[in-house]
Amino acid sequence: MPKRTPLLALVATVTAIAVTACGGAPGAEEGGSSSDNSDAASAAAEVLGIDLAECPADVTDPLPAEANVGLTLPLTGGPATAFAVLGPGAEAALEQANAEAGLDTKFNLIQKDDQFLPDKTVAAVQELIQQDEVVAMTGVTGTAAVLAIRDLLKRDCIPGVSLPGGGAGAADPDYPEVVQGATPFSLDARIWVESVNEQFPDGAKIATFIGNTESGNDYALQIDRWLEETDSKSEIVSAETIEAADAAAPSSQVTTMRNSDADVLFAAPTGAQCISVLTEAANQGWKPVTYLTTNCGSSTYLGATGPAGEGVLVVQPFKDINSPRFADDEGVAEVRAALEKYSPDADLENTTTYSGYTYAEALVEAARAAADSELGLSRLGIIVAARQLDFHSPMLVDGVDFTVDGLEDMVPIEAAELNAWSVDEGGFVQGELYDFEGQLTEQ
Amino acid sequence: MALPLEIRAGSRVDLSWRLGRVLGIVLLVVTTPYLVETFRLSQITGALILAIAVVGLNLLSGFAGQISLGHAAFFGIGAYTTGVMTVTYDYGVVTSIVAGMALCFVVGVVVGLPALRVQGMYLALVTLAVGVLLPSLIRRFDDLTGGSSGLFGMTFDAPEGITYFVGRAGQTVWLYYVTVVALLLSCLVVWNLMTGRVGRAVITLRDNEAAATVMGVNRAFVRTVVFGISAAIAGLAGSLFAVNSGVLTPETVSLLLTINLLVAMVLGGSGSFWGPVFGAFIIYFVPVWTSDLSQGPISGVIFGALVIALVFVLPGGLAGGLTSLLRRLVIVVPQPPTQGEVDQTSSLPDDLSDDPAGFEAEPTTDPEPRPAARLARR
Repeated sequence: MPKRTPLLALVATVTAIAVTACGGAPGAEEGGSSSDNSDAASAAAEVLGIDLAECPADVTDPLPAEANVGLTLPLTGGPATAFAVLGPGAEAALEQANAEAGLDTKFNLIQKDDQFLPDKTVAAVQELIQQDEVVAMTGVTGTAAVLAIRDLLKRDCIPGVSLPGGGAGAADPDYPEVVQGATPFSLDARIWVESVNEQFPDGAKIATFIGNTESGNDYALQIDRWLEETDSKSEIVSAETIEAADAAAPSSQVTTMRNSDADVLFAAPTGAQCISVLTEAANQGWKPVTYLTTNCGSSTYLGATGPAGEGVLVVQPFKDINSPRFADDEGVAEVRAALEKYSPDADLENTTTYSGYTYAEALVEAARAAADSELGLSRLGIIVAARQLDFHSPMLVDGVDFTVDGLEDMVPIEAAELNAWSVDEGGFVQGELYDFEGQLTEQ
Repeated sequence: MALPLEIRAGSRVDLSWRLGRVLGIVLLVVTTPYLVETFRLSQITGALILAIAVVGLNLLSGFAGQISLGHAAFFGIGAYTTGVMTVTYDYGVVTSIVAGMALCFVVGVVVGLPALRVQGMYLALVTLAVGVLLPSLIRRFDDLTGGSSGLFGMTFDAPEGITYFVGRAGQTVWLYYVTVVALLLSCLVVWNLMTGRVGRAVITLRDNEAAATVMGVNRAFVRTVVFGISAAIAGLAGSLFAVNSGVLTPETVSLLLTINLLVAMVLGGSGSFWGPVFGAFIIYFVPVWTSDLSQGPISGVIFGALVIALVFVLPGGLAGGLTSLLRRLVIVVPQPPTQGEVDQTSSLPDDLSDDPAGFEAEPTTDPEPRPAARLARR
């Protein structure tokens, strides 16, 4: 009998499942179609390619007096160290809006741990949608995470405003509910190529050192794209990669690139690799014109490279809070004050905290615009307003705005300064502003 | 009424006790979709999938005593086989699951070959190499696997015509039931293995390899086949993971997953049959609940503290703790032999007469034998 007990359990379970399946399904709700198919709502949805009949019934309803906003981020695991501070930043922006924006709805931020794994992000977002009934998502970080959840957002017609995935997938016209939040990799690549074309009109030999990650793949594609589209005379003579988890100095890759006689280095590695590639190049006596990914464009990273960082060029649409240039900046001071007041536990010296504020700030701007619109402060209203956002965040450098335009312009940040790191200054020296507004959306 | 209650094995009470447990499982399985929300059912399915992988690892490490640090790779091979076959080549999900398990079995057998020569940490290093290799291969062959950007769009739709499984909620219930059946099948395979000849061979090989070899255990066959079956079960879990989450990235099958599986096995109860299920639920849900309890990175600290506390409080894992608790309430004692059986055993001395060295087993003095050893003796 003991040996038969598990077999009996299996047979009994399968039989019970078969019998149960003949009955009514549990939780057979399925939303239903939107109740308000007013001309304005239908027309606005149609412009964005949204079929209101596929949306839940309450998509056009005004938001309640209190509504939840979802944010998934790594609260456990290695990436938590870098990204967990996004939460307090976003919290401050929403609390500030609750206190000052005069909206009929007060927003509560609900954070869920996703361990920076896309499958966990999916599970967390499902929970946020079904249990916490979030009316919007913000700040979900990483292109893979955005790609993983965008179908969920589309299915329930939930706006995902300012989701920081730099890849092209985060700005896809098939997903109007998703508004990109980070500096797109295409902007990095576009400015790098433009700068090289200006500095080397007869062409340059380019070496690329790119992380073997989803963002790295995007960088490689965008560099090829813009070299081709600008008819650049420059060519890639060496393409080296590095695994994201590789903590060793990239000696062999740097040697290979140096031996290729490259004049220019496009570097898009991950985290501390930004430091090691620069120091390794300096150690080997190789000093190309170096362009470093915007993800590493902070004083924290460059300051750690010592003399090796001198003159390294970084695309910067956002202000670096640790740079002397912005020590007395009004915009930074304004955000810092909001963080101090509305999120006292926030780490004020961490750039990512300010990023969290900026992401949620875009959602607040969309909510404001929706409240003033014909559609009102509803989920559809936020989706439509977010696709027409045009504002200047205090954390963006002068000349750079957060601008989108329906499905034609899906990329919000398409301008940035190309700044050089100065060891003497202990910060970035303001460089040229490149503006490619409306040019980066891939149709 | 004095505790513990003694139940005679094979008696009606024993039969009722066993049937009651079966009924309990059936009731739990069938009523769960009605008791929890859809997203929670999806999470439970995720935990059950993890449990299947832990069942596989438990067979290898818990029962057979071979440390594997590469089980995330087998999980990943199953997941990506299903992902690539269904998304890129449009094969059916069932076909892809079978293919994934077969591939994992073959890879498992190949990886298990070094286990014939190396043991302990050296074997762990061999399997570690496999675990490290797979994410790199996934990134390298990104045309096929989606690389770092991920592979999306895997689904396992319920059979058409069954209204019970229609819609979003129905689809979630369908995947839940499929996973439950897969878990029960996996448990059944491991149970049958471990309570039969192979199980005795596995335990003997683990406890005393020289003695096992002398007794005629085919060491190469047992070790490699157990490795293969363990890998195939992990592959099954991977395939189900692919269709349940709909997204695969190299990070999903990184070493972190192997560590999680090992932690789940130990917390649940290494070498026990129910341990993997308990352990998988702990590993899956504790981070979810701790992040609900507190916002910010402190939830990681709570999770870590809980794991340490569980290891100290329940060194035999949750399954071990529950078994001890149950033994204080109920114990099943063997049925005394009938007169006929006594008469039959009277010929025993003759049967042992050809024992060349008189290697009759000494009765065990271990008051709390390990679950696996206990089962092997049945």
